[in-house]
Amino acid sequence: MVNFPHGFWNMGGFWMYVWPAYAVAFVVMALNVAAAYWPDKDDRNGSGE
Amino acid sequence: MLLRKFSAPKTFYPLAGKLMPWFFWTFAVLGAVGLYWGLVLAPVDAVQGQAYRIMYVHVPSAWMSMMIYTSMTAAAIAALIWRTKVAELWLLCSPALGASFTFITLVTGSLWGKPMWGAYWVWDARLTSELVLLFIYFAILAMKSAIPDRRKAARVMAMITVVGFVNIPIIKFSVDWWTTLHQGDSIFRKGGPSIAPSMLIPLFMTALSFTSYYFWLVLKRIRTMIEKTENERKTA
Repeated sequence: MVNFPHGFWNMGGFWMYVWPAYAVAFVVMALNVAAAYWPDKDDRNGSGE
Repeated sequence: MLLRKFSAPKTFYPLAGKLMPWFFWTFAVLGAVGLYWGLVLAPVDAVQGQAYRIMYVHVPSAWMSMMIYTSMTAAAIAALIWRTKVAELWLLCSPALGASFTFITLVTGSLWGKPMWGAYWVWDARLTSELVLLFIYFAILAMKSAIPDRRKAARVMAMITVVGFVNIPIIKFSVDWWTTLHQGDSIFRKGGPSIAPSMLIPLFMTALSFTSYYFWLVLKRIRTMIEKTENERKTA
């Protein structure tokens, strides 16, 4: 772990800012996959109801 | 002629089905390698410390927010001039993905801004124009929800998209035209990139991964919409 001079658990801002940024991106991208593969049932059959 | 052939939903549907796995695997493999490289292998930045690692999600998202809008503008022009069905479908299926990437760009940028600038948000030209892009995406999505007839919705969406395109060069050149807190171009600039290759290569990997993610999902959405239209025709 040469790239973490402050230690893995104290990575100078990693847990404060970097980790939440990736979490937001992961959640939004996962929601888009869900929306594409499991669309709203009413919408899917095209009945418009 | 070839373009006309593939712009018919009947031809486009199987082609999209064949392309989807390629885009999915490019997204998955390059995303995994790029993130491991960017988060673990790439060295710590001399000035920004660990916080610069937000770049691997922020920069590709920002590129995508503009790239998706540009592809929508091309589709909008084709939809308005030639009423191409696949262009209309592309326009109907893209804005949700574009808005998502714009949202990711704004949130991750804000999380990067706090340790670097001391503030989550500033009314800087780059940040403000990106926020305007999010609102344009919302306006396009609102038209999609408000107009039940898909072809009519696509025409209105196309008009808004073409008008809203004026914002794309404003975002791109905002850092050159105005004095901004946001940094200037560090990759596509005169004299080559100012980022070391050990940090730049994983950035290109995640960028290509995000691009593949968009194509994978937009093709999936278009296929679902073609199926939906076929069902409507059968039940009508």
